Amino acid sequence: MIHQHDISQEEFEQIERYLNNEMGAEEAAVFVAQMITDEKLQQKVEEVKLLLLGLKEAVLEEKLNTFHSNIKSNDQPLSKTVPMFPRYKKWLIAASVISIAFLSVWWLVNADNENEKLYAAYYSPDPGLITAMGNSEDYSFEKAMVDYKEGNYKKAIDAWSKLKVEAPQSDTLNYFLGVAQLANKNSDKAKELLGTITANVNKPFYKEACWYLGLILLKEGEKDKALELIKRSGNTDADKLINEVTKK
Amino acid sequence: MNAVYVQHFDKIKFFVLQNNGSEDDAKDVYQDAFVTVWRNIQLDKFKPQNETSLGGYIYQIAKYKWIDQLRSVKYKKTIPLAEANIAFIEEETLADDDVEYIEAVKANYRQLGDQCKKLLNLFYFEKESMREIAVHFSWTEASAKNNKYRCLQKLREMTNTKDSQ
Repeated sequence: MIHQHDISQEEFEQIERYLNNEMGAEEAAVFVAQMITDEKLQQKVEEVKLLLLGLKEAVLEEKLNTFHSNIKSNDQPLSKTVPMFPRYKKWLIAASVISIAFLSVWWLVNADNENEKLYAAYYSPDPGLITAMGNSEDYSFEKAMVDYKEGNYKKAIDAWSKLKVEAPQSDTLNYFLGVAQLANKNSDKAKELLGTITANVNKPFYKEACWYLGLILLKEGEKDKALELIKRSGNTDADKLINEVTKK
Repeated sequence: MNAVYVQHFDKIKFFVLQNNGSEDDAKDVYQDAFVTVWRNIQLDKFKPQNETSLGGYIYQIAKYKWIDQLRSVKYKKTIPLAEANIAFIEEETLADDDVEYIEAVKANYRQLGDQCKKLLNLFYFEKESMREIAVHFSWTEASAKNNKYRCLQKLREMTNTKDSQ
């Protein structure tokens, strides 16, 4: 592309108004008609568009480190955020791990159903998100996330359900409510919530939701639908599980 | 915009840390994704319906950028991801020439004088009106407009000279 036309101040301002949709309908129509016949004008518009895009990006990039410093000031050093739970609560996690292990064994011994065995073997609760507990806006969400990670599913469900009233369309909420309901053994509610995510491949947590919904359907004997979802989940265990189900 | 930036970082940090990356890697990949998302919004390639869809989109782009980096030479031997074989989403809508031009504009912007940078920053980022900018610099509104044009011309000239070389 050649960028060598002179652009006067007046013309520049006109092009900018066109690009920003700030022209009235009539002026815009005249301008567009002019562009169609005047190739030079077309090139000028194209150049100004790219120039402004680059300029705005450059300004944005200068701001990013300032933005980032706002995260740091809210956050603890990395070494402290990696352990996802406060130290004094470790025993709680240990207890919930043991109880989950116990439950899994119980399932394996008692499940008279192959699918339920598979479910028990492959299901583990979603690990949840890291919580920084800094941003006041997200405080109640994050507080519930801590509850969730400690295995207090009922408490997390109550808190997130309250937030859902304000933001019924929030995919993050629907996903975590879904996995919390599942962890709390409410498969029906989990199915409904996770279904809102798996309906659209562009949603956040799409793959994760496919995995959990697939597991639920597998447990309920809906093998075909389950396999499709498990396939879409791309989970590290997906292939192994699909093999086990299909070889039967 | 700052709030949006802060809000969505954690999830990406988590993803990168889980997949062979450091916190600095997370920051780089996130900032890169943030600018890409911003560009796609400017180009009408992506229209955020709400905060959640925006967050999801940033996450998706950053995730793919990180996966892409893991595929690169530096990490070639250590792809731990189940997602490593997902099709890359179409990310660039501009021709190579245009991308090159934008990169040149960005590099040249950094070379501009402080006054030009300040003026352009107030107008294009802080969205101040020409009148407010005039007050800020103790100019008349007309000279604020002239100066803005001069700064943009300067940026064009720097870029076009390099372009024709």
